[in-house]
Amino acid sequence: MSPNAPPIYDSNGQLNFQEWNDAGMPYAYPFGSLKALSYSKTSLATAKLMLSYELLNGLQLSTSLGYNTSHNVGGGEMPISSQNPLTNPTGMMVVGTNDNQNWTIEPQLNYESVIGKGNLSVLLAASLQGTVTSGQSIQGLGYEDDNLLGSITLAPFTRLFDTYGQYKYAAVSGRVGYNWEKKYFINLSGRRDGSSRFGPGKRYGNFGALGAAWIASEEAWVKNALPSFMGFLKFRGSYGLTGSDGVGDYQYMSQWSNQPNYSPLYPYGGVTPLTSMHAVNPDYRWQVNKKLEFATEMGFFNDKITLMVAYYQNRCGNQLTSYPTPFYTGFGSVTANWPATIQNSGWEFSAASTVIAKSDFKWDLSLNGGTNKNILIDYPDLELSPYATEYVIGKSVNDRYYLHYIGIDPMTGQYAFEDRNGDGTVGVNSAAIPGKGEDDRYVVINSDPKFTGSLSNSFRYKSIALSFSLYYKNQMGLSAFYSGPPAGGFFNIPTEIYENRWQYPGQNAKYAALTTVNGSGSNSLVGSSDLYYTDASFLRLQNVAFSYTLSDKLLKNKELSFTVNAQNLWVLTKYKGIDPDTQNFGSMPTSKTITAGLNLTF
Amino acid sequence: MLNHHTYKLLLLIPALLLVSCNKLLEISEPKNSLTTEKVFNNETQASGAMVGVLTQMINVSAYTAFSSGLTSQLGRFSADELDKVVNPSDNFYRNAVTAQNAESNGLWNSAYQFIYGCNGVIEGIAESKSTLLGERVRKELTAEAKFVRAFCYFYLINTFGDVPLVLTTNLAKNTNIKRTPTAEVYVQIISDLKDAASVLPADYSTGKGERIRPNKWTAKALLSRVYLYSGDHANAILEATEVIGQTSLYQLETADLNKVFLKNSSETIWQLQQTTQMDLSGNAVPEAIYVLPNPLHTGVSGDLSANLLRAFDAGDLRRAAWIDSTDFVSGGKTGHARFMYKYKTGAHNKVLNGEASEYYMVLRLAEMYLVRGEARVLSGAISAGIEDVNVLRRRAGVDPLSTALGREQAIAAIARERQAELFGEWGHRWFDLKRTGKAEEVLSAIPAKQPWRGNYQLLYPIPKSELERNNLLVQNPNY
Repeated sequence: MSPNAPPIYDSNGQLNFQEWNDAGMPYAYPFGSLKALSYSKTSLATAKLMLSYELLNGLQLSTSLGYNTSHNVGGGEMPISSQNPLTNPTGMMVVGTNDNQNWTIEPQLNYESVIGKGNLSVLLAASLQGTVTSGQSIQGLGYEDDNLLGSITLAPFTRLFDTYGQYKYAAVSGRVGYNWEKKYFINLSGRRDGSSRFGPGKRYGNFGALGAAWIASEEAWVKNALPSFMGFLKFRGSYGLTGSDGVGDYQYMSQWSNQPNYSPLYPYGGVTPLTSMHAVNPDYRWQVNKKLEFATEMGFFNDKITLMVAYYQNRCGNQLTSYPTPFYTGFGSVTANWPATIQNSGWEFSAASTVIAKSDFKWDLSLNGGTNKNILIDYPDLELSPYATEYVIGKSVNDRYYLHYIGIDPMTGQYAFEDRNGDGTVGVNSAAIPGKGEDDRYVVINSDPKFTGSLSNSFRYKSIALSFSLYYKNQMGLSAFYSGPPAGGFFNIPTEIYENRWQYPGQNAKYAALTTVNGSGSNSLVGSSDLYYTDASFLRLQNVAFSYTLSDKLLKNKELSFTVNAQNLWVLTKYKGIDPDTQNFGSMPTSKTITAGLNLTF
Repeated sequence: MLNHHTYKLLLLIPALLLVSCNKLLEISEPKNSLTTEKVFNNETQASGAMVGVLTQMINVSAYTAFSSGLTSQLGRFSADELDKVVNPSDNFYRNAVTAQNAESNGLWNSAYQFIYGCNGVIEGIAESKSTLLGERVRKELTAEAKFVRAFCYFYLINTFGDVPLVLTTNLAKNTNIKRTPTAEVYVQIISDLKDAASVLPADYSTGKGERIRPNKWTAKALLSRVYLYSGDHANAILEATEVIGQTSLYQLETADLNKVFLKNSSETIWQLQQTTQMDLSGNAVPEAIYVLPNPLHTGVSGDLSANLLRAFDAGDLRRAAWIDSTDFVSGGKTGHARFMYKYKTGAHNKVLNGEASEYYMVLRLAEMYLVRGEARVLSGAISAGIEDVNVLRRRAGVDPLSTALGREQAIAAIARERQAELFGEWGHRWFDLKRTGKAEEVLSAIPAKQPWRGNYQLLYPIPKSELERNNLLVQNPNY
């Protein structure tokens, strides 16, 4: 269909900037990079040493030492010929190196002994790690002849960049475990972690955990009380604190540089400029994650069927994050501990069974699943925080409020929404706290999965094996048809929308009238309404695998096997659209993959 | 069983580690950055911190900072200086800005970024105990930072109205503050400018003779404008007179109007020096890359308006020197557009790493005559005021105005003269329409701005994200 875009190359085989410029599309020509060059070369060396020595009976000292180093050389060239001649271009080249060194020392002292009727194990360990990264690169700019590209000394002017970072981590930890007659178990651990990513006085954090377990089925009186088919019963519980230092290096200190965000500050009046790289917060400290878990494990019919049910509760009240700040403070964010206390809790279960175990035929089945509930426990001064209009204490941080869709107005062909607060207009006020009647949003939708589960089966008959797994997810997701671009723009739309659009007054249509006005009328509110979301639950046949191995006798020490593997063969869902996980009309859904293989060993 | 030696050994290892733990975490400071303490340890680096603000004011893409052309650009759109712009649905051009328009965020964010830099310089110097940082340099850099801070606040309040008054880099103090009334911000601006004027040198020695670092007269020039804007006519006259009186430094470029915007022209009170090494703009002033026609661009950003052209009398040399026109082809359409030609180096003739002939003009002597003239007329000295205007008219080759004009005629004559002299520069026309109460009358008559949505448009909306990040900020009315 005309008009056609001009050819990529002109009649001389050169990039065809000329014709694209003449066609009034100077910026649309995408082929300049065909003449550009870029390269990268990395060398790596890794060394690891493990030493272990039994000092005394039961007392073992071991140390692991590791060292990694990598060196990268990279660069690129942008010749004049790759750029639009209308811009008076000059050539550019860049060359640079990056080095990374990392070492670890991890000594350990292990002690095992029998005390009374129990086993004691004691572990003392330390860990030291260090990382240094550094890089330099040099840009040559202003070349007026492409033939000179490649020589940095011939560059009319140059620009230098460097990066540097150092990280150290040190920890001591101890763990004491004791079990009495393989019946009562207790585990106690403690650790002190230190990281150079925190400011002075904040570098160390103390963490620890306590765990206990009871194998009730080892207890004679319990054993007698249990039904005979239940051979194993265990209860366990644990509570622990772990730390996290996942932030950038040096964020606690003031840093002035003349290349913030890797873009240069140009000299001014001959003076080398300096500027602050980030907002400074010297007070952030180790993030503490608190984990509580209770579980029970059961075995039936000589462990032919095993069952595990667990309840977990994870809490974090000082997550390390890049916290948004008003730009008028100088920066849009600062590294800080987030004051929100957020809890994730839920149930997990798994069951496994060897349904049949004969010499010729075996069937294994396993089932597992889980739920998760997110809740904002506390947020001091929430109303003064950037999340004031988003979060509600006691609710999930992923809860969002939406307008309620009430249908298409048969007279105008526009989507209509409930005027919840009865003020005569339907609208969204992003500055208002939703759900309080200040605007019309009140329907709560949370796109977190409510439940996920999977079922796996594997069968083996002689040398034939077949396995498959099913995956289920219960969730709300974007509606494939209502979340796409509204009809009328320069986009494809599904025929579903086109054929069921509103066309004449009085029509009860599924989709609004077509329009060429961007963001017009009710289309602009669809994204703030529950019409945008739909049930996107699904059951997917995730994997099917089949294999057949020819018997040894036939082939004498040789082996021949045949396999077929298939992924994503089948989906059961009420979701209208291409895929309930992709939830988008325009992008590719999860692919269906089938592979077959023949394996011969001789 | 454990013997005593083993127990000792067990205890020794963690003890050893704990003792030396503080040493274990010692890291060297980053080699490619400096702490605040080190920056303000000596004069070279402390000057670097101040220059860091100045370079970022100009050496960014033209419409990303309020001081690199964005104020001029949005001012031209919002006022009545352009017709038939390339993108006629531009919300600033239609005076239909909404809180979603991100362009005004650039004005806000950049001004506050520079204010942070200035506060950092003032605090860094105050906290530095270094003897290598001498008393004179301490005072001068502090004064320079105060000047730039005042300059940023001047543009903030004239764009947004009341704004948060941030005078420290301390995040905890700034996160939850309210907007400070414009009048109070003016008090701070005047105080900063007076401090600056009393300390800064009376020459351009800081910039080694180039007029790229603010000096005493730069501070006084801005002070006279601030007094005029806040209605203190007596002080506006006083400060402008002082600057005009520095005849050994400042003279109007009378021989050739094409020389006004050249670097360090005799009319220059302060210019921002662009780098010549930025790929996009080469040795051109960043804004000129967009204002002058570029074969790659769709001609120019718009056609200078009839309203503006009416401000020139027949034979006005400024019109001949500062306005040019071009034919353009854009999206299959051809057109003819008149464009601002104050800067002569643009995309068509820039040279990467070439010597610059122009710097970005911020404050110039002609404005001082206009400030004094207006203040004189408003305080009753009409003939003296008209005489100031006539200085510029004589230079422009047009007949001087009669000094016997009535008050209203004189006020109108000064407004027209400002329109002609300062067009396209730093939002002057936009601010003038607003401060003189003429905005509605003039702008509501322009077809592209129909329907006139109301005077709330005279203040741009506070960026949305700022309201979300600090709930104590309240949006300007009707956004």
